[in-house]
Amino acid sequence: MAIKDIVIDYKHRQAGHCESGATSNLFNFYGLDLSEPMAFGTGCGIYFSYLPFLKLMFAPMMSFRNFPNTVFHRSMKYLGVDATVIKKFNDKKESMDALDRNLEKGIPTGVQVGVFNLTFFPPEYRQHYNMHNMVIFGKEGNNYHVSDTVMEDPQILSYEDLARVRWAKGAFAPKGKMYWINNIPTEIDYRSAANQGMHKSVYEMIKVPFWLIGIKGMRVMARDIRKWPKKHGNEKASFYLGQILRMAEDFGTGGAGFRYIYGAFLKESGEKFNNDEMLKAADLMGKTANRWRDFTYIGARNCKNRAKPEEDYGMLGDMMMEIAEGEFKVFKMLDKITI
Amino acid sequence: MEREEIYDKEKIEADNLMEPIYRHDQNGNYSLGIGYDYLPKDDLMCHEFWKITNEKLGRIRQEVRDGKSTPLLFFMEKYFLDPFAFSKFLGISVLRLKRHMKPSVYARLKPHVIQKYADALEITLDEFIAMKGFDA
Repeated sequence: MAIKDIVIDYKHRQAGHCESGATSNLFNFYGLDLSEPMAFGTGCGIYFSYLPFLKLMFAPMMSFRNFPNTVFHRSMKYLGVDATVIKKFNDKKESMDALDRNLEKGIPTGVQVGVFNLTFFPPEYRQHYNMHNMVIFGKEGNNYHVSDTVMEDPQILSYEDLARVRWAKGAFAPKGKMYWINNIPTEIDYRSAANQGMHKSVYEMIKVPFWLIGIKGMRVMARDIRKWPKKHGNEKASFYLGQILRMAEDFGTGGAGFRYIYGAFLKESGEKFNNDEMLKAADLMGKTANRWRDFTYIGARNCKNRAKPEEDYGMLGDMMMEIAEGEFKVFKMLDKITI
Repeated sequence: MEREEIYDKEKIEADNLMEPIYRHDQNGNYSLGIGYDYLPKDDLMCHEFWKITNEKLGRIRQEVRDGKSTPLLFFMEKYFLDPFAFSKFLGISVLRLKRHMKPSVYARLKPHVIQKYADALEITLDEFIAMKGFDA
């Protein structure tokens, strides 16, 4: 049974990162204000892991963000909002029907999709990457209205295309995952939510007892960068370096591997809750993020063989170590703060 | 490093791949803007990275014509898939895929098997075999 045409009055805003952008937009739809950095910070989006024994696109795997759907799930949990996440469906038809039912009720719904078959994306971006998020907010005939935070305007997708991207195959397959907000309480404690999110992030960055996660992983990577040219030869070393740069500055990061967004979160909550220590940490985070940018800039020159003689892999390794120490300082500082 | 030194606005505007990016300025303020305040990414991503990839693809294409490689390897390089990810994507065993990647085995494959690979990548059989429309 086809449902009648419905378009929800949903405000599309561009954002730096797809999932925190979708979370903040969904939240704002219910009339409360939650900026994108706040959603990212309370949802513990920041992360680092370096897994050299797993290969992604033929180069060591690393990640600058948390697992997909963590941001939405945790921020809603800490804010005390009643939200639903359906992790997977059994078949295509069922998942699309569930989406239609939601739209009929007037609920904008977030979905996880694969990028490869998204028709409105430029061809350069269309790779087998399955962790993209967007919000569906309307249906007209056979077409769905889609708000994708990467694009400037809302887009339109047909039923078949949407079903295909929601059931993209490969690693981290979305399997029709969708999420939405049911009900928002009248009183929301932003202070405790930000506190909880911050301390969870501190745990994940400096206290996990495993040597490849968080700041420890960054130190291991710094040591590895120095070894690459000797171990693998110049061509492969520059390919590996290119992977770091692409992961740090690839689309949907908001710049410098999410460090700018996190700094914005610290700054905003410092101002909101009158905490000077947090403002100091925000400034330090910004400086570290700028060092990330310098790292990617020099790294890019290195990949192109245009680097100056002193800008070799040893120097990049030292720089990475310096960044790791900078972030360690920030998270140590945050560990002592209670807001 | 001097930030203004590398700031090149015209080049950013010429490139249509613009996304919102956060920045941190000297006064310690964060803001969301479109495009980069300087250019590691689009120098690397849009020009240099694709140049390196295209050179590699050209080499493989030549190897396919010489009978030393297969179109399967070409498309896997093109879409950055390793055998494990691609076999998961296709729903077949990784050993079977690796076997099909050998030129001698590939030459003996029946059309309907190759059609499966072409369907997975959403191109026609002819396009798959000739690697048509994917020139550097």
